[in-house]
Amino acid sequence: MLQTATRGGGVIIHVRLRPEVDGDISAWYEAQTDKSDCVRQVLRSYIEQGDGSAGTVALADIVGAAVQTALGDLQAMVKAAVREALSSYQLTMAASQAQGSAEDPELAARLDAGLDEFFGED
Amino acid sequence: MTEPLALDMGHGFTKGKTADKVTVIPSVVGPAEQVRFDSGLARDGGICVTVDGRAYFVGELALQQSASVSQTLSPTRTGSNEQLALFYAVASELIGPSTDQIAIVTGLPLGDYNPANKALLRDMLKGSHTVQRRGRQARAFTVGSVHVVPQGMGSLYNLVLDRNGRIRDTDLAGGAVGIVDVGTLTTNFVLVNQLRFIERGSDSIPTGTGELLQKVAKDLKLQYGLDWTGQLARVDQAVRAGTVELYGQPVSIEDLVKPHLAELSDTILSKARSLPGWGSGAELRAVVVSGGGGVMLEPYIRKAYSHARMGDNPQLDNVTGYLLAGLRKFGSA
Repeated sequence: MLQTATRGGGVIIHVRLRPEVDGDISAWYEAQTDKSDCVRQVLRSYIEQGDGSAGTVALADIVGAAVQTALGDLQAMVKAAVREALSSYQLTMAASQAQGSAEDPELAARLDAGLDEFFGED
Repeated sequence: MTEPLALDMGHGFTKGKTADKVTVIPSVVGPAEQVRFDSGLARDGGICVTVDGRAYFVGELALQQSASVSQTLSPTRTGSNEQLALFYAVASELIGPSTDQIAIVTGLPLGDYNPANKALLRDMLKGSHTVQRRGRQARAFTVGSVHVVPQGMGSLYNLVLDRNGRIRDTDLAGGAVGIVDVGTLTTNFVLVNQLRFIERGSDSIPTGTGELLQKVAKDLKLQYGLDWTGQLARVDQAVRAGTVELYGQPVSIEDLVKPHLAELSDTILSKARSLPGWGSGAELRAVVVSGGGGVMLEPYIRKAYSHARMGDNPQLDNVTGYLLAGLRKFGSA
């Protein structure tokens, strides 16, 4: 399951790794000392390869830019196009997140009932 | 306006947190009148507070300067002047001059979580206080309410709630979760199902990293002649670093520490497996590892519970969760 949340102008990505299918990823992740930075590097590396679903979105932009300029550094163009594609993706996520930010009412009620028990004695 | 203040008074460290500040102070208190304090140490950041007319060194200053510092591993200190000195030390770090009303959210180990101990803690903290800290202006404030939750619950709140106290992780919140909260003297086991505390699956044992550190200190004395038996904070640092310095050279102590860590983890895991609702962990959505001993024990707990997880700073998980719960109840200042 992948969830995102916006905080302080950024996007926070939560990914649940299930032991039965993602054990290799979990092991690698736990071995990293700076986990956040490692994940960023992996994502950037993937983006720079220009494959996967993000690459298909960015491909038209990459080709268009290449035809128009017929010059320049391919890596810079890939980065720019992907950055542009991701920026619109981020806006879309922020909007959907804003709409879906309501708490699960059942869980919220259970949480509040529990806190009332702990807090109600004073 | 009432400002929530989260307080986690551990036997190793006392942690405090407000919406914009956090402090961690070694839970060490020593009588200030027995040492000279003309050196300016208190004015240079050391903490010296007054309780009932007596001055106490707290934290690093007590470790450095109080020859008779005893602190520390006494489990029956709730309501003592030493504990109040620790609270005043935290308050002097976190409470600004514009704050006059405070609601405290704090915790007690499961084994001590009973009406008598909660009343002792409330009686100590609730009411009007004037914190006099050497080198600073006196601060007066009123604690209007004190809310005591079982230690370990804070770690779950930390993972589940956002900075406003709203549920952000519905996946974790919606399942059964076991929390192993490894402290200095106590390890708490908390079972929660869909955010509700399950008492019959929760308990604590009077075992923690303090026991480990005492054994390591004994071995350090035997093997290397390092007499650190009265300096457990120093032993703790060495265990976390995995080395000590001997004659100017770093020497690994990992082989010395490992058997004691394995022994402690066996005790902890044996207790966890015996609790109703825990067992092999197959029915738990996650096992959360927290507390000051969390980093040391997490690899061992993960061997038994492959879905064990830990926050970025397990030492602060409880106090952070207390604050988030307080923000949910009282809102931000």
